Amino acid sequence: MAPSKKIPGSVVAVGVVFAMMMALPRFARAADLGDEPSKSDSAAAQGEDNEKPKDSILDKKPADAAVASKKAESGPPFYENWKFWAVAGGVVAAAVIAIVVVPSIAHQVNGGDVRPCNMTFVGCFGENQ
Amino acid sequence: MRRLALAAVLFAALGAAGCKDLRYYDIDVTYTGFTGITTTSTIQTCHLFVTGAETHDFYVGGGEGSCGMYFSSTDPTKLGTIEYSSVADSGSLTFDMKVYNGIPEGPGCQVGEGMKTLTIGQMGADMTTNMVALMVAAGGTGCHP
Repeated sequence: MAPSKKIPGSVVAVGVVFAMMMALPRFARAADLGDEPSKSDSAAAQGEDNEKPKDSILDKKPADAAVASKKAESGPPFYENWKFWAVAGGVVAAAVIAIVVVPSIAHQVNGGDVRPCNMTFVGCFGENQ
Repeated sequence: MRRLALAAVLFAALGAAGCKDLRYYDIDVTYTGFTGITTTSTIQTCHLFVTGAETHDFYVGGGEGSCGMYFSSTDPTKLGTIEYSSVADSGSLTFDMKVYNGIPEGPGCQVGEGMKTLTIGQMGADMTTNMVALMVAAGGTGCHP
């Protein structure tokens, strides 16, 4: 029987340590991302990020769709509605009438401008004089 | 509906804030009962007193002794029309005309008086121009030099 070649324990220990040194950085990176280490070993596969976020806030949700449909139901902005301009025009016209025309009419109804003294009268007295 | 109410309130506010308008009282003064030595031709002073909502007094012709120029021989019972302008819009106005045949005026020289009271806003004082008939009745002996 051929004598078996015995591997010394020190060599085994050095090999185990070397293997751990090589593997440890990859395990550490995988732990940081919360994922298992990628199976692919190619550099190109490691460079690109194929992992998509699981719950992106940019993703459309059912609530967004409801809001969009509500907007569509409410129609165009109020200032594009002719009724708005009709009412606004009416209010402006009423304000002009109230400010300019009404006092003039009220003044005329109440006697108008100060009356000059009638020359045939024997005298004109009072608040107007 | 709310806009209409707002417009009505604005209308009322503007009306209330408008200028103070005048009312005119055209007082037509006539004489009655003047005979003998106290005829209207002797009247020299006509003093009009306004009391009530406003208080004023005026002399026809501008002062004592100036009323005689308005005597008309064609119609000795008529003095003429006096305009009184007022800003009062409530209450009453009393026009009291006293006539004298001498200067200075005083009870001893008074020969007549007429008075008229109007309630502003009621018949006779509810228009911008109101006609007032004021009759001055003879009373008193007057003063004689």
